[in-house]
Amino acid sequence: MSAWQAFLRKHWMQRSWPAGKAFAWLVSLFGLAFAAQIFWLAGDQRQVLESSARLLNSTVPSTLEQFRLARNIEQLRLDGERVFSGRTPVARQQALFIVSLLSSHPAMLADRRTAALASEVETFLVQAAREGMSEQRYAEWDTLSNRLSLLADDFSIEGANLATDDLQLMATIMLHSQFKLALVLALVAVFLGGFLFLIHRHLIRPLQKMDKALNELRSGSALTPFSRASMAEIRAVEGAIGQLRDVMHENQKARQELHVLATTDSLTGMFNRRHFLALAEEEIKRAHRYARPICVGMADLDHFKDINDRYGHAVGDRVLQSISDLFGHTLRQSDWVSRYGGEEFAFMFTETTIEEAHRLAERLRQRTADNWIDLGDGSGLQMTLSLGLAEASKGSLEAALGRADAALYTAKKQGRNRVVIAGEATATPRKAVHESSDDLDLPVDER
Amino acid sequence: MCFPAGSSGVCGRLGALCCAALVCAGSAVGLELRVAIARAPVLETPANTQAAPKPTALLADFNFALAREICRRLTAKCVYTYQPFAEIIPAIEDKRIELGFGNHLRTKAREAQVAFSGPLWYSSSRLLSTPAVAERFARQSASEVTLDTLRDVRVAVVSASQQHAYLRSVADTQRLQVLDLATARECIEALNAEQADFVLMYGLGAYLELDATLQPTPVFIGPGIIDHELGGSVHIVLARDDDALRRRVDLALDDMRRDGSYPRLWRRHFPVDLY
Repeated sequence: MSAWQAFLRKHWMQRSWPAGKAFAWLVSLFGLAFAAQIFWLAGDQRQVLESSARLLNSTVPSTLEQFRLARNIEQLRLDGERVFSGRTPVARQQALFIVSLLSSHPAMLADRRTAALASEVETFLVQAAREGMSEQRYAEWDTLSNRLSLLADDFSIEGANLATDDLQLMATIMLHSQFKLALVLALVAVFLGGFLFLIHRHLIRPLQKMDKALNELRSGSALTPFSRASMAEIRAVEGAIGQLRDVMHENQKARQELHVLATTDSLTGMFNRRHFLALAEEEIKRAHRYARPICVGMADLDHFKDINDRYGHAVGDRVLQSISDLFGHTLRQSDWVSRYGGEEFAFMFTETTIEEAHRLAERLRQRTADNWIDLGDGSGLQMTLSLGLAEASKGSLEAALGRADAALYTAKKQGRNRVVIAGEATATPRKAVHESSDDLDLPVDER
Repeated sequence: MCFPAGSSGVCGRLGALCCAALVCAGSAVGLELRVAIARAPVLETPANTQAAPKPTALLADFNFALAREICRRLTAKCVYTYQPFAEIIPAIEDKRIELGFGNHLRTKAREAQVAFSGPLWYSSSRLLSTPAVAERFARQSASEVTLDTLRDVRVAVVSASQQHAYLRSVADTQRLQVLDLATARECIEALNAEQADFVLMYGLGAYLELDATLQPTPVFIGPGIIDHELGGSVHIVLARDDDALRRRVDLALDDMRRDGSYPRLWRRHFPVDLY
């Protein structure tokens, strides 16, 4: 990049311009150029007006005077002819009077050539009339007559030229004005084109980008970064949109955190009871509406109180976290589990019959029993889990959970570490459950 | 027509319109002008009809016709009188007349007395003499006989004319005897009667007064003269303080030139174009 390009980039392209000021400059520049053109045209117009006024007040009267003088010279010639050709002396004398009258006309006297020729003609004719006509005199008169005709022609031509000169001048000025007018129109077109280009480049296009950015904000997709706008106001709005994006991002993050806090148990990461109940209520309604199978379950860690009492609450928490991880690995994605309270858990098995739920619960119970919980000091322990299951395809969630809870109570009562289905008298034999658990589509135990 | 009942408004409006029309008509002919035309002695009070012109009365007839046309264009009620040339300017100054048609040249002295219309036509002055006198003076003078070279001669001139004023101004210097006569005709008669050696008068007037049948016929001496304010434009004279009338007269003259009525009027009276 050359030095002047760097200078231009630094001082011009990267500089922001207040829109009002920039447009005021542009409009002023256009106004000045336009006004200059108008003054330029006005000069031509003034010249045309002056020329037309001169034509009307001076040239045309002068032309008429020239024509009139030419006519008088021609009449002088004709009356000179009458001096020669008059049939009577009186007629010849009358013609001579008219010659004298014409030759003393002020217009004749005002022009030196005409005055001299008219005087010469009058003197010649007076002398000819006094001394008599002859062939020689007529030949001389013929010469004078020709001179008069030529002079009359000269004045006629000069008169016509006077008007022609002014008209040609006006035509030239009008032609120049036409070019200037075309130039003015071109200037207006260039300015308008430039103006529209600048508006598009520095106003419309940034606004379109801002609109796109706002749409991106609304849709939550990543915000396309802005290129630096030239207009200070546009740049400020772009900055505000960037700030809005940051604020919205932070708000969304906080909202997500709040949602997690409101719906999950902080220790285990499972759904909390309230959120579970809300979700389960909706799911049961859906299952009832479409007559789909659905089951609920209640589980309780056996002798968990003894763990707390013997090892302390930290170990109890560790046990709960370990059990939570185990549940996460063992249950299907469509199954829901929540920490219902203390060491008690609630389950919902969607699109699952009670037999399938039973096999799943048994698998869960077995893996819990097989799960070695590392306490971190080289020691560990194993826990067992009692579960109660209930069909929830009919009736309310509360009733289903109540039946599952009753089944859990029965499981506890029958000796713990077992699964009891509500409404059945005895718990499912542990071995049978083990044998049938392979039929379920369960996640692989990673331990 | 008025309607009896409930139509008083219509009647009132019609009456107002009639009154307005009458007022307008009255104002249109409200201008009254007294017009003086330079007198030819043979003429009586001019009639309002086109009389057959006598050769020597052509200029007066022209002026009369011109005055009537201007009055018509001004929608003025005009009263025409013939007056001697010498009385026209004093009559204008005394407000006894409003317009004077006397073929007045525009001079500085007259500009102090009266106002002038636009130019009517152009005039120059010329010397006239009998052929015998002209020949005699031509023999005596080495150069052409002109007004400036005249010495020890009798010159007839129309009283109160510009030619008269000039001759009086140079009479002593050039030892001229100035014959102060009332009309151009009297000047020509004085020339023919050998009471004057020369006549100095404006060209058109001389042309109109000369009689080609007379023998010997007077001849023009020297060139036409436009110096010493003896030639130039001829005007209607009017009061200096009546600028509105002057403007209206000028507009009427311009209109006559534009519509061709002035050239036609001139051509009806004179054989050559001097306007």
